[in-house]
Amino acid sequence: MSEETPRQRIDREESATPGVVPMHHPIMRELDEPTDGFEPTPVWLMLIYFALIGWGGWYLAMNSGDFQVGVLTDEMMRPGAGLAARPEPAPVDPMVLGRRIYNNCVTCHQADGEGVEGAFPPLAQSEWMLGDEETLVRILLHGAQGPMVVLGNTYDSEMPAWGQLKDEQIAAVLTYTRASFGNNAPAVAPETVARIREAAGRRTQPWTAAELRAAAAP
Amino acid sequence: MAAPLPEPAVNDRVSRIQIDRSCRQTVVWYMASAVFWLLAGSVLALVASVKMHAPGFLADAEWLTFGRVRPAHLSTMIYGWGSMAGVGVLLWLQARLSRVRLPLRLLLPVTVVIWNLAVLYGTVRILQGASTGIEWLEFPVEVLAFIGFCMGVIIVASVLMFVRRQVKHTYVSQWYLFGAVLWFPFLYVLGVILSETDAARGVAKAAANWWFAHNVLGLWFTPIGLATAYYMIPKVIGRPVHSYHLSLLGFWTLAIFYNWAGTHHLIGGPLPAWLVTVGIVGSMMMFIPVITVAVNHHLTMVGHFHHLRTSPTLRFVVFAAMSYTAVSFQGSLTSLRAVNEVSHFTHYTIAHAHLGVYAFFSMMMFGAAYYILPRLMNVEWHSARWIRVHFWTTALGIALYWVGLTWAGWQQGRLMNDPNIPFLAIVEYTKPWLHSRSVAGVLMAAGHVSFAWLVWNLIRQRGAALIGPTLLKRRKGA
Amino acid sequence: MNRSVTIALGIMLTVVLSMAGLVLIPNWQFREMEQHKDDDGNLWPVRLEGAEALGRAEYVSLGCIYCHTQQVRPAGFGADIDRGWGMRRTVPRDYLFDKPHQLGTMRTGPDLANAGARQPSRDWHLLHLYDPVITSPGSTMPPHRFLFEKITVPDRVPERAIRLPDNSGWILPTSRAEHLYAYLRSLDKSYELPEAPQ
Repeated sequence: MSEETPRQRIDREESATPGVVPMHHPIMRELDEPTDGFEPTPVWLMLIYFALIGWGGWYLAMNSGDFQVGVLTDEMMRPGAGLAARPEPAPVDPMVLGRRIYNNCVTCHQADGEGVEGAFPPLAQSEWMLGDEETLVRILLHGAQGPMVVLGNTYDSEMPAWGQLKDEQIAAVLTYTRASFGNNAPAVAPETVARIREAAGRRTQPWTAAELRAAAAP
Repeated sequence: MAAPLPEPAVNDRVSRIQIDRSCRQTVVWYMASAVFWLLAGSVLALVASVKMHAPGFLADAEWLTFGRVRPAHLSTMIYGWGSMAGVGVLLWLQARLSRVRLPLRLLLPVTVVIWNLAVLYGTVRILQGASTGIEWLEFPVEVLAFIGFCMGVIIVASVLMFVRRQVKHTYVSQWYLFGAVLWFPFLYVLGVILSETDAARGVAKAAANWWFAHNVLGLWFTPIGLATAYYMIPKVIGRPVHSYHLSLLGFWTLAIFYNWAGTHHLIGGPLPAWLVTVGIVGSMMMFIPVITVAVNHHLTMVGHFHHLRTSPTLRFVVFAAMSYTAVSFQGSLTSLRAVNEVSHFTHYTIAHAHLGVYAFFSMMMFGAAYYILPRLMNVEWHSARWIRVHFWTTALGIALYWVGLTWAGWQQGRLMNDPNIPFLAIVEYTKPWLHSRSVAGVLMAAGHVSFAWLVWNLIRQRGAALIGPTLLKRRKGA
Repeated sequence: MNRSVTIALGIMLTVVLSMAGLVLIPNWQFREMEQHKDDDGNLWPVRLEGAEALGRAEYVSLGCIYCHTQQVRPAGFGADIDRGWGMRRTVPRDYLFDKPHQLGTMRTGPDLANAGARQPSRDWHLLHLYDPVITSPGSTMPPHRFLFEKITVPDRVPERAIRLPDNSGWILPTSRAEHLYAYLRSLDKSYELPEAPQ
């Protein structure tokens, strides 16, 4: 006869003592409190753990920038790299750069360049977008305010200034918007942006439609 | 006739009656309160989930705006459901394993009342807009005083039991329970001080925030959950835990490594590189305790998996233990910079958090409740069918939840890292998956209602004083 | 005391060590962090006051953090800068006065570290707060109509009110909405810090 398991013992005891008062059952039916076995720890497990701890030490040493508080980015994390390891950004195609910067514009002008009816003017097929590039640069550098007529509708909202962008960035976003949403106007050169920025001096006021027309007049 | 029982076992069984009686009031109150908060938290969860894809839903009631319902959901679940169920289980397990009756039997039931009022007050204040704005610590700071007082009483009770323990050998669950009860109050007090006051400067507050928040899971829920698994698995199947050496290795490596993992929530953030790297290494080292516990549990279970067909407790506990392995592996891998670059800031993290707090901890607490409550109430569960409904709705619910949001989150992260994709297109992409989350939420909430219905009937003593345990299926030959 | 004290000390030691490592040591490293004075004598970052500070409290109270982060990850890690969320990564000094911190962990909506620099328009922000789909079709952000008063009678429209684009009336922001806008407008990290060139 094979050895009885605890479970079987409880079952046998339960069926053998049908007369026991029910209050005993809640404790009779459960097994004794659990105990610990003492099987040895497998060696292969310990080897895995030592390997893992070794990796942890190496990773910590390689990615902690000598525990300096000023070391933040991946490039600077290597030991001894210090602040000199900061990377130089690579040049990007103006259309790609422009599309990225346009992410800032979609809140108003929308991803399809159609704007919001009654609130924010469209860029698609807009006579402003397809027209004078210097006017567009002025709007981007210093913003615009007051009523503006776009495709026959009047808009009265505030266009923020983007003068904090670099010349290449302003040129790129204009190049992108003038060649997207069905628009087909030539690219804008960073030099144009630089020239207009220079000419505007320390202007901080946003442009009005009338001022823009006056500035564009030859 | 039955053979006479060996002497120690008789004593053990008699002492169990006394221990269970001493625990009855406190533990049943804690567990019943937890079930109440589980239901409240589920309602808040469903409201928040629907708002994610239907923002107009209940939008004109300021106190039900998404940014308030969501932290209210988290807080009721963590401090109401999870912590109160955890305290109930912790006290009962520590009493049983130390072979001593529950001390402070007048004061402990009072803490249940205070704790409930604290959670209620905190939740109402969040909905009113008085959240502290710190994730996982949204309750206004005065709640700390009340829950802190309760935890103080619980520490004293728990330490008294541990010190007076009547067994020479300290069982592995006792290590975890002793750890949990010492860790959590320390974390809570220091977490509030370091992240809400000027004790820490600038982003050091954020480091304190995530040191705390990650450790609520790591040093409070995890040890209670593992203590439960270590108790219930051998208890139900009737064989010893595979290896004490592995048990101890698992406990101390968890204690050493888990609490360093918190800063992996700040990868790419404005913190020194070394601080984030330490968090990543801590997370990766979690493989050690997790593999250890998984091996130990598996080798204990081997050859006894057929009990999953009959025992509700074992079914929930084994589901939870497997989820623990899964969530920990996922967590360690997610902390790697290359993975985190995609997964950070997305629904992937939400899915991961629910795998931990729900599939692991909550399922473990369900399993524990199915074992503990009938013993305290001397009444059996009134229906095996409702238990089956509870298991399958919650298990399928969390599975659907996890699969949907993990996939959606991963794609969301990939799209977000492609600057050529407009942001609103990403929002549009995630919408179907947010619907799947609401469906999963309804499933889980249905399971919670079944569970609450079972507990309600048990407390009302509606179930029969059955001779045997409630089993999902009849054992062969019984 | 059957080793209870030893065990308790061991258990507490683990958590005290991690607190020291993850919070106290970095906090000590930040001890000399202070505002940076630029060439024009301005101090950065600015300590928020008045409407901006009140707006920050609204931001916290309304739980904006659950969908919006305020941190720009470095170039080459994610696409935060390419998406236009900032001209440079954010660094510890940017958050010198943030209390409670609102770094956030979720981007159901876009990052707001530079919300004011990217979108300074008052009309836009207030329309967007009133009902986000007006400005952002398909957005899942909850409308905050409870921060506004709607006006439909054309002859009693105050200066501060904003016309709804569908011509259904005007919205008059409450002071809370104005504060929130003031705070969002203040979110601008386009100043340069020595440790974070653009």
